[in-house]
Order: sequence, then structure tokens, then C-alpha cells
Amino acid sequence: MLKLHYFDLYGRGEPIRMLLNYAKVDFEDCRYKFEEWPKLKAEGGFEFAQMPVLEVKTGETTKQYCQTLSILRYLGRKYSLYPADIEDAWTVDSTLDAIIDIINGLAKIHWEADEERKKKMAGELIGGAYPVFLKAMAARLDASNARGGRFILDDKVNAADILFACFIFNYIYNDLNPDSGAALKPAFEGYETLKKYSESLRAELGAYLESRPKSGR
Amino acid sequence: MKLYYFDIYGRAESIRILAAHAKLELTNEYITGEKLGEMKAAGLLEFGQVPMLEVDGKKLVQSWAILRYLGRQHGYYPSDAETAWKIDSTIDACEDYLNNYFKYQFEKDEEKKKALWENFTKFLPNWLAAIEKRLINNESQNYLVGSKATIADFALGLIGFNCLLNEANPSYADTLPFIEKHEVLKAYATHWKTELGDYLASRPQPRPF
Repeated sequence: MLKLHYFDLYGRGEPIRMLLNYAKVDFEDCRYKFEEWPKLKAEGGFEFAQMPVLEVKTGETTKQYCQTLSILRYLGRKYSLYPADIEDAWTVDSTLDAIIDIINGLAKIHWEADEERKKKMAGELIGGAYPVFLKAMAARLDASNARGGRFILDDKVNAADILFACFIFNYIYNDLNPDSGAALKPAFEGYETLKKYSESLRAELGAYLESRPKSGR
Repeated sequence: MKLYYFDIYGRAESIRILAAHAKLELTNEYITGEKLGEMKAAGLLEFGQVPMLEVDGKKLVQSWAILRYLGRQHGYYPSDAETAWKIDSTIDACEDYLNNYFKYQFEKDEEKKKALWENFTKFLPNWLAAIEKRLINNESQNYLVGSKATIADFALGLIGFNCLLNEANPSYADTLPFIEKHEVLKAYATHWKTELGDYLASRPQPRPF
């Protein structure tokens, strides 16, 4: 029995929800409001006082798994969404890391209270790291396409594709966050490869994108 | 193997520690900001960043992905899901540490810097306690996982030998009291100073981080 603990938004929990849904694994989706967090944190139930946390109950034992990317890798290993080959694994690992860099950059901007600094950080990300990231990802996809694959590594979705799907459908194509879309979409759609990729992902994820609880981020 | 990075310990140090532990031939190409710009312009850095490792005919980037690659190659990264999660989450926790600490370290505004220090000093005790608990619950207190070195130890080595135990680190004196009461962590650090002895003595120093 699986239980996911996270806030009631996409954030860092959605990649895990999406992966479990894709792997057709049932889980209890425990969503918390921000107001509940101080009490929850103080109760000391979570290892690094952070969420998301995945609880796995097997018989009498309950084990806790923390850290978003580590949970993704763990579930990826368990449900054949993470490669064993050392080079393929580097491709998946570095894709996960590169995407989380951009997501972290967006989060830093979101939480920056000073308007001046916020504008400066956004300018640096949208003008610097983000275009470099898109170019690199498009090149990786081109290489995969050349080998007959629709996704980052080959023709099978893996954990990195799931995280990328979250980036695309939570931050770029999200009706509840038009500002984010406005900032990120133009450069993204400059690459046919990336547009095609998002369509392949949409097809793979099917009804989930429509049926999941929606949030702005 | 050639490792391109700045002349600091920084995000390259886990890779250097692994190479030293495994007695691999590693050449450090210390680059300046200017050289970084040149390399970016020449398209040598996939995400425009260092560290970059030239190995096996490839140019690998992303420091933790490089560490995992070498870890798999040299027996420092078991592939079973449970063990791998312990290792992965330790690496993630180290990444959290770096983000928190460097946000404070590189802040230029004095007011904001004070607030970030407050933030860091709230983060640090929980972090140290969580890592120590993992050591206590492990079969050996000399290794984070199992009974021999894994990339989790090299990731913690980065945090320990770049920051917390590095006398040249600007926050060394301020963070020392936080480690004081953690006997298991201190013993782990002492063990690793021995296990990495030659490397720690011979690497460039002093470096602030």
C-alpha cells in the first residue's frame, strides 16, 4: 500500500503522482494545505522535515522515502522506468538534474519578495539557462528520434520523460498559470522537436492530464 | 579522464574524491570565468556549465550524474532499489545543503544575508541530525550505506571537506558548534580523513569551498 504526502498543488509531488499513474500503481494521494504544514513539520514524522514523502506499507512494516528525485528513481527502478545501462542512466540522470535546475530557478523567482530582484532573476533564467536547456534537450530528442525513439532515451517513457512532462504541462501549458506560459512557451515552441515531444507525451499520458486535480504550479 | 572545473572544491569535489579513492587517473583542468565563456561559445558544455568530465570518449556534465556514472563503473553505486534510494536521497540532501548554504554565502545585501544565515542555522541542526541518524541505523558507522564506500560517502565528503570541516571555509567557526554534540558524525568524519588522507593533504589548499 502506497501513500504520498505533499501539498495540494503540482509542485514537487506531481512528478511522483504522474509516474505512479503512468505505471498504473494505486496510491493514496494525501494533499495538505500550507496552513497544516507547521504542525505537521513539528510532529517530526518526516525525515528531513520536508515533503514529498512516499510511505510504503508491506505487511506490518511501513517505510518512508523522501526527496523528490530519489523517489522518482526508486519508483523508476521498481516499475521499469529507469535504465540499467550506465550510459543510458547518465542520460536519464543528467536530464532529471537539468530539468530540476530550471524548476528550482522558477521556484526561486516565485518566492523572491523583492520585485527588482525578481525581475532580474527572471531575466537571467529566461535569457540564459533556459534557452541553453531547451537547445540541449532538443538535441537529445533529435538523437533519440534518429534512433526511432519518441522520448528522451528511446521509444519508451522513462522517469526523466515524466519529470519533463511535469515541466511542460505544469509550467508551460497550464491554463491556471498564463504568466508562466507566456514566459516559457515562445522559446519552447521554437523547436519542432519539442512540440512533437509534448504531443507524444500528451498521447502517452492520456486522460491523466485532464482528470488530475489542477493547480497553478 | 579530464575534469573541467574552477579552482575551488565546489561541485566537482565528490568526483575528485571518488577518483582519489578508486586510484583513477584524473587530470584537473582548472578554468577561469573567461575560459568558461570560451568553452560555452565553442559548444563544449551541453548545459553551459561545469563540471564537465571527458571520459570514455564522452563529455559528461551535471556533477551528480557524473558521480553516479563513475559510481556505477567502479562499484560505488549498488543498483537495488532500496540501497540506491538511501544513496540517492543522501545526494539530494547534500544538494539541499549546498543550495541553502550558497544562497547565504553569495548574498551581497547585508540585511538579506543576515536573514539567510538565520535560515541556514535553522536548516543545519535538522540536517545533521538526519544524516547522523542514518549512520547510527546503518550496519557500519564508517559508511552511510552498507559496509563499504559508496557515492553517498563521497557526496557527504563534499559537504564535510568543502564546508563544515574546512578551516578555510568562511563559516567554519560559526558552524563548528553545530557539529560538536554529534559524536557519531565526528567519528565518521575522522574515519574518512584517514580513508582519504593522501588526497586531503595533497589537494590545492586553502580554498574557501
